[in-house]
Amino acid sequence: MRPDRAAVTARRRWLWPVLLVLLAFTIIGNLAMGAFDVGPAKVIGILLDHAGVDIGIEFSPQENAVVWSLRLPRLVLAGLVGAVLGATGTALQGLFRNPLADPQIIGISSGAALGAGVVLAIGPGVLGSFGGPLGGFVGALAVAAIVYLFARYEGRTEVVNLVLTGVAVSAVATAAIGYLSFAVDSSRLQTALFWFLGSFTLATWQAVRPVLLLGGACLLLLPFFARQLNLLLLGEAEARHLGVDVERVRAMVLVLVALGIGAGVATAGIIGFVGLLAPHGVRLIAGPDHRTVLPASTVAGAVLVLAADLAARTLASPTEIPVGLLTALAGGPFFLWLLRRTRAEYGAWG
Amino acid sequence: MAAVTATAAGFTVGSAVLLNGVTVSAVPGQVLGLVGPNGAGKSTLLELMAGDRRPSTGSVELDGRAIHDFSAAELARLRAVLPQQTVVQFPFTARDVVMMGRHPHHADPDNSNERDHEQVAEAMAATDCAELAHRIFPSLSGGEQTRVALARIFAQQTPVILLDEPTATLDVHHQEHTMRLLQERARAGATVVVVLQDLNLGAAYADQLVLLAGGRVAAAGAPTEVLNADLLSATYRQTMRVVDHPHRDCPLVLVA
Repeated sequence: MRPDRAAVTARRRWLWPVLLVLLAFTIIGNLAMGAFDVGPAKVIGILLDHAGVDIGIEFSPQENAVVWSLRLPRLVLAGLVGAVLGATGTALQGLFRNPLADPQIIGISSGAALGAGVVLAIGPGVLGSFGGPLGGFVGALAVAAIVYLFARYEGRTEVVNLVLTGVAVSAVATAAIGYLSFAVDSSRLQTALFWFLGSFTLATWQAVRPVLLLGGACLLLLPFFARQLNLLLLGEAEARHLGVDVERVRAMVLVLVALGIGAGVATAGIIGFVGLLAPHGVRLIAGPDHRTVLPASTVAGAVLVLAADLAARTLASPTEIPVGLLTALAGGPFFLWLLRRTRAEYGAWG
Repeated sequence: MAAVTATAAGFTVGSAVLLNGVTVSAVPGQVLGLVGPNGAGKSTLLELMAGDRRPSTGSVELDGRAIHDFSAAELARLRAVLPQQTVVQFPFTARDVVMMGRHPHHADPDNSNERDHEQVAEAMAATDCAELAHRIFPSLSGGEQTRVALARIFAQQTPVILLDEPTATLDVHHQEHTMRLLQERARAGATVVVVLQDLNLGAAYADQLVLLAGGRVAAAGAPTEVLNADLLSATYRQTMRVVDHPHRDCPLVLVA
């Protein structure tokens, strides 16, 4: 069968309804379910009560505390981190013209973890709860710059170079984090090593605020580069011929990616595969146009991480599975399937 | 209307001199063909004329102004460039790719979606790829991809068109068709610069030819002046003869 547009157009109609329904389900599910079940109706009653609306649903102060002070900040954090992973994965794939780019695979997440780890080891000082996220931003940006300089040759980024640069940078960053834990005997760093595996257990409103600001900036601004990212997929010279200021777009997108990933990793650790799964899944349904893929991957990333966190909290209740472990366990095989399917449909990736 | 002029332009990478003192002028209303053996500097000269690279020595001007004084957005409304090959690793349709050619006019007050669609449809019809519109670009054959890329260049609607070997992957019919299209564009006032391997396409369709050899201009002028048997034989290290084309009013180059 020759792939054509009719099938894509038919599938595209379902994209947003399906994504929004899934988002609603995962939000209610995450607030209602856990070691202590609160019914979906009560969850809605509690949320509306905080918005100043009384719809006559009774709930206990304990139920209110669980939903509002424990589950809601965790939900917001997991949703934001997932959204950032989906959006930044999409943006990096477009920027590097490479379907295998992802914040984790090319080492940006490890850079962010190292940056945040250094801040945690020496103490955030006046930066307070913004210290870790800003350290993460600096680390992520440094790695983005290194990968960019090393993986490119004559205006092209080769898959092998990109992945191997990421492997090397990740190895160095991971070793440096290990060294930090020897050099600094600090309870803060124990916490740091715990989140390095990927977890939302540290979610409080105070921890969520910097992610909301920095990750929010990343999510709101990236879609403005959708058209330029489309043109970059033709090639750098071609994008320039069509009027794109390539250097400026690249610098801006990398800074926004580092901002989102830095804040996300500093707060929730490294959660893999979402940056690959969300955009690839969306592209299969809706085609490659970034004007659709960027916002849709943002929502898809949030849905994926929310679903993973719900599973992490409930599957082995009362113990909790690290969420990064679950995304890798479920994401790895799914990604292999995606690779095969996409390859069969569109040919090999160079 | 915009002329593109390279004056005493040189280009050096490390110790390799790719171009040396090249003076070339492409003017509105004419097709300028760049010919020469492999490694003569044809593509490099085209890149200088496109503003992709800065000449190491000499200058390149577009419409009398140094090409590097233009912003990327300004240049995109003045000149379109067809690369040797367009590699797209994401499943855009052929029509999506042609529509990208409209990007430079995205912010024009007198542009509109209707106009974009019109121009895209027109360009795809002209390059004989309308029936490929909904196919996935990376799944097309090399020649089909070239025709779609050509439509993208035409949809860009620029007074200057630069093409690097547009005919290399095309069948004979589409080679002739493409060269006729370029000639039509030139007659309508465009400045067309085209790198060609096939000397006979240059002979039939170019108004001016520049023969490059070893980074220098070996000959420049009308095809009847440049296509000289002795000069070509020496330049290509291959004995050639030039006769009058029996069916066309132009020279015919034969390998002897």
